Amino acid sequence: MRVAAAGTYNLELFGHGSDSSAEVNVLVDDKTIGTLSLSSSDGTSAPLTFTVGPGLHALSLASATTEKTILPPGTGAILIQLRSGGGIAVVPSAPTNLNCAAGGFYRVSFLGDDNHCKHLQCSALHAERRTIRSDNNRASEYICRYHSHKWFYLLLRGKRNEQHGNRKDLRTGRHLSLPIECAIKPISSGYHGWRWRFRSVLRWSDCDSLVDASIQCVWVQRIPFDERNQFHTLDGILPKRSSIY
Amino acid sequence: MDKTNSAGCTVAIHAGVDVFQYFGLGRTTVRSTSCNPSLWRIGQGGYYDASDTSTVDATFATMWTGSDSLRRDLLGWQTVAVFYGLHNVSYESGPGSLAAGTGAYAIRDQRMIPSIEHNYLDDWFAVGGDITNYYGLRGAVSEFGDWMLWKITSTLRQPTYEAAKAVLQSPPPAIAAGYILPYAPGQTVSIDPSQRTPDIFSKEAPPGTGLTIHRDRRCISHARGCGRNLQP
Repeated sequence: MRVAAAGTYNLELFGHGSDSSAEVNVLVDDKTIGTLSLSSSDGTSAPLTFTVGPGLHALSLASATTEKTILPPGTGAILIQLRSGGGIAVVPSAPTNLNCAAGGFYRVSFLGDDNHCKHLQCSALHAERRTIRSDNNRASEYICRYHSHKWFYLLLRGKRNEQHGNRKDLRTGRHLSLPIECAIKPISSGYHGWRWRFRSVLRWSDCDSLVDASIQCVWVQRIPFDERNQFHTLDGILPKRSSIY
Repeated sequence: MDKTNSAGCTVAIHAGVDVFQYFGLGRTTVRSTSCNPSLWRIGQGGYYDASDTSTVDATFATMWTGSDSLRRDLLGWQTVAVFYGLHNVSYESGPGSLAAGTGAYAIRDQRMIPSIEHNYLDDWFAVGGDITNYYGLRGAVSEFGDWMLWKITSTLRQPTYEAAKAVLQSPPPAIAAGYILPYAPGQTVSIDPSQRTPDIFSKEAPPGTGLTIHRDRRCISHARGCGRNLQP
């Protein structure tokens, strides 16, 4: 977890245990903040409260009983809500280790703001659906155009999960693809000074088996068209980022 | 940024800016700790490798992706360090796969500069890595390769040395790791359990979208990811 300023949060689990006695110990860094219980059917646990300072923090879950506790695919979740304090991080989170299999449905959400973009005009929010492809474990395809002055890139890297679960690097000329829908929605009513807060939700489904992929979220200022092409023509060497990410 | 672990030790946590200590180019960053300073860092050897060294071009292409592949491991290391309130360092690091053969050409190629920059700025420091030692300063070239930052005393305009300067002259990158917690009261984020990082040593299967949590085993989650002992 990444925290910009000290804050107090509630943590809940959504899911179920293999029986009604399932309990999970929850630790933040090396401190136990409490134990949560889950029933045998999907539901939200009681909240645990923790306070952390700025920086990176580790979240640990460990079963407190002999039973396994399952956060079900597609719906199981670790929910964290800010109660007080906190601060705006200046970069989006960067999802890693994405998965995709035929018939699956996946989503990940992340937050960010435009603290570094002083000329943002938040008028043309929209979503796109596009397939992004990766060659030889490197590639990128921009997917979301936020508005005319700001581009939202998703850089996809990953490996196709080949026969029988063996992982092999993709070779040149082979692709993995990830049909993905990106929606960027404001989560507040508008400007806060120069800041614009947003929530981006990525959804993807129905792709080939995929493991160890990552999507790197890159915000860039408006850049020339030919510079965008460098993503594909520099033999795997990405241009230096012109702005924050 | 400071944090205090369960032992009451407070250590400074922030993006690392010290690199290449072997070469004496590291910047000095003042840090403090309220506990025994002899144990406030943990480290590994942070080499990034090429999976294909058949040609120099292939070496550089796969070193690039090799660094990105290492990023997941860096996240895992960082998570363990964060768990204990320690700094994550590399006792040695740098480009790997420089054994005799194409490696001897690769290390003299100007593409070594963006390669090293990419590894340290985009991957190592971007996940919160702290001080890292570059291997190595000088030494004899052997059948194990040519790893030197500095080889010819008459000139310092060598790719690895230029790369070292470029890294040092770059501002510390923003930390891009970790799931950002909400920043508006009442706002909730959902950490998708599929975003965990499996342990590279446990040989576990690729993660699914759910988690099974086993008794007495601990999952260390680095934002969206969890560590060892969790099975999909």
